[in-house]
Amino acid sequence: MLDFKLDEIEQSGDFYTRNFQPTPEENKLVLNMGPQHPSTHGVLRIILEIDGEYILRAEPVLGYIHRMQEKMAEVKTYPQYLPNMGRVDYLHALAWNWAYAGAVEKLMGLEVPERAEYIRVITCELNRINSHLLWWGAYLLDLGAFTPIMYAFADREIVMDILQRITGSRLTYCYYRFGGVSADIDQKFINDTREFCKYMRGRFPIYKDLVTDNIILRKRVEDIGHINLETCRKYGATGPVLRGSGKPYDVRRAEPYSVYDRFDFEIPVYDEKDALARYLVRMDEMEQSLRIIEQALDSLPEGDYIHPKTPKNPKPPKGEAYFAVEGARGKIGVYLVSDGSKSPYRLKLRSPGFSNLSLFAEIARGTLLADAISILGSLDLVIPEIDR
Amino acid sequence: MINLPLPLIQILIGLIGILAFVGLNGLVLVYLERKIAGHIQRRPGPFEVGPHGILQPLADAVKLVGKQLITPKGADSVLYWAAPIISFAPAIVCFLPLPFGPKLTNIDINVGLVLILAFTGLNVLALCLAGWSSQNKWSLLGAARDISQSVAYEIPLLLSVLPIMMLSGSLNLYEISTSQGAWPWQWHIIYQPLGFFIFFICILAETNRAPFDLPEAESELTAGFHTEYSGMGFGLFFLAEYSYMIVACAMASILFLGGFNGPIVSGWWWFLFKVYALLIVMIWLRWTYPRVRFDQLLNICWKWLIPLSLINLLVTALFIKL
Amino acid sequence: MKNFCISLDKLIPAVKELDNLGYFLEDVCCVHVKEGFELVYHFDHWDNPGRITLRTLISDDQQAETISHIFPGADWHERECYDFFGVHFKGHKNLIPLLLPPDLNEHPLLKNKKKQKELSHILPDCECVTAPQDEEFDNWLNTFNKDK
Repeated sequence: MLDFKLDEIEQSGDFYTRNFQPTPEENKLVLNMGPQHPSTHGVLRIILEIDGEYILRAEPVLGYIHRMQEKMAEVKTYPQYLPNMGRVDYLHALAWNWAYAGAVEKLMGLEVPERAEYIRVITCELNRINSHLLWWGAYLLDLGAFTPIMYAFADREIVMDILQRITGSRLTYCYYRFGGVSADIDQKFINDTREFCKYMRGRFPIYKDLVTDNIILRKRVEDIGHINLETCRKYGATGPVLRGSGKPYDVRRAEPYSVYDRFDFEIPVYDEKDALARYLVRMDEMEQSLRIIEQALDSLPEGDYIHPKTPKNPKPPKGEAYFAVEGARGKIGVYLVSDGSKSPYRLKLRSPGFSNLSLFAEIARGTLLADAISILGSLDLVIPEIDR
Repeated sequence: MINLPLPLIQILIGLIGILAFVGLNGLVLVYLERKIAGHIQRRPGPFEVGPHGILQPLADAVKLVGKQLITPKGADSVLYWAAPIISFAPAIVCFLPLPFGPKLTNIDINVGLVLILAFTGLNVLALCLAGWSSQNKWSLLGAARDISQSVAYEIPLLLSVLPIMMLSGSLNLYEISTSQGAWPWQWHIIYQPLGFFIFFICILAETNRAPFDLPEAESELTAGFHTEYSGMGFGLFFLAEYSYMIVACAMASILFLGGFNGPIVSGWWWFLFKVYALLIVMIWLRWTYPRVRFDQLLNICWKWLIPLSLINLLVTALFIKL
Repeated sequence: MKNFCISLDKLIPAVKELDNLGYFLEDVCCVHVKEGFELVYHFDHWDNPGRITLRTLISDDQQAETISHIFPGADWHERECYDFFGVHFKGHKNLIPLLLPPDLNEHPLLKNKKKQKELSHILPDCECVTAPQDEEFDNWLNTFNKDK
């Protein structure tokens, strides 16, 4: 005898579960995936209605790592808020650094010295490689392969060591300042980075042979999770998700910021629209990032690493600015409204993961549980970025 | 003084020996698995407890034994705690008819092969009970997966064993061993390469090892059927899994690789060597491949393995008749 | 970069037009000012980059119109605005808290009277928000279509 009563089941679940399915339905199981689940990468929760292993309906529930970043911006001064950006998306922290610094610079009309722009490009791309590497390992972990993440971590370690010497931190960087960066790079950084580029080029063929060409992996990602362009547009998906659906949209090209227009790089695009396409886009993007880094190192100009007349406590003039950068997950946007005081009047963070995740409910419908996990992984979610 | 019949005493001593063997093997396998995994992943593996972490499995075992046993709310406590025992106990029985060496067979019965196949089948029941009684949706999904997987893979497993019975003309594992010679070209694998291949895939699936570890797929079902188990409840499932792995690899080595027969001097060392070689291959596979999807797993079985093993059986029968 | 201040009842047709033109929604943002809430919709285009900003002003007790039936992606953005500001979106199918706990009865980004600024104070170039100029959007639309 099972010692629970039926009316207890009916009342079970929290606000979101009851909102999702007010009364239990026959032959349908409501499953809470998360907020503690190995494949939701942190604290994402997805309520699933399943029939057998087929998903009938899915609804992500957010907010488990919500920190009200936008409110914090309003009570902190502009420089005080800089460290927050490293904590929004801990995997591509420098892109968020850049988005915020860029928005403030745009509003203040502050010019960034050329050397600082190059340093930003180099460090941001290094960080992008790091982010994609971790995604690669974690995605394979979702698919049941335990080893790749260790290889990815070993490679990431090199980048983190390189960045640590310059930025002072390993993960949640706070390196960019208004008008430049906080410290100049030195010869050792340049040598190490060049060496890393060479090393990393040698790793890609290994990863291709070992993982990408594996038949089991192919069967798990091919033809899974089709996202057509219309869905991408309706939900505002950007980044590798969009490029995996066949649209070469990259903020670095579409809305060139900083010195990206000087570099020769390609935007990887795949037309297959499935999880494999998104996978391959990210793998190719790492190679393109290496190209950008090498070009930037070759043409690194001398000069200041920060604008010499940057005010310590800036008070940007009244007005608004929107600054978008290309993060590892897509278009990062910072919308800043200033009333001329020491802290922002309103700061809106547009996180790419937020939009990318919002289409999950639509594409997960009718898939198997295992496929849903493959799709979820292929979207490359960083929950702190989504919840902000 | 109670007069116990001799076979009973023999079985008792054998059981004690087997329990010791299973426990020890569990420790060795845990260590082996973690060390091999470590080296595959470019890290040293356990290193802190004892020299090269050799005492790590022991420390883990002590930790597991010392943990509180928690019965989840709403679980059927009788079935819930019966499940790990039902899972582990048959594993012990499976060791009884195994010929470890020329003179090292506990009970030499004529239906040893059938006995092992029958008792390993009981594991499905245990996992089913564990999943059902846990009162957890993940466990239930894991159990459902396990049942369809085990039932499906039982068929090609049996079909790939049948040709061996035909070749050696016996169900007695000792006789099957002795029907093969000392050198590799005298083993059944030479006549049955396809059979061995099918058998090995099937034992991977039957023992829930990656890439077929769907019932406990941790990135999908958190931990599958043993999600709710704590302490030795989990420990017994764990031990049972390793025991079944040993039984399965022992079967593979007896049926296809000549059992205790080996070059120069035959004996239990050759048997253990072959078993461990197969176990290492299983571990190697686990840390190399991603997991297959559930429908793919069943497709492999129904669309490939069963027809192939049937053809294999018919061809073997034809050759023997000729 | 285009900025359009439109009235609330013109919002849905304008968003529909942008949808037809192939724009995608970047975000929906809300700013609390003395006059009420300024809703800012950012749109962008893949092949024809250039941000389109639609702004509309609603008073404190007014309800906004949902655009989630046109852009399903706006669903979450609107829920976020509802979370942070308590702005109601008329016609939204599932307007429940997204990021904040469901039992929280506060809207953290609301500014108190002392901190509120007038719209003209924070956005010197956008006085048009208080006096919407719907024709401007129509004019731009005509020229855009002509260019095509």
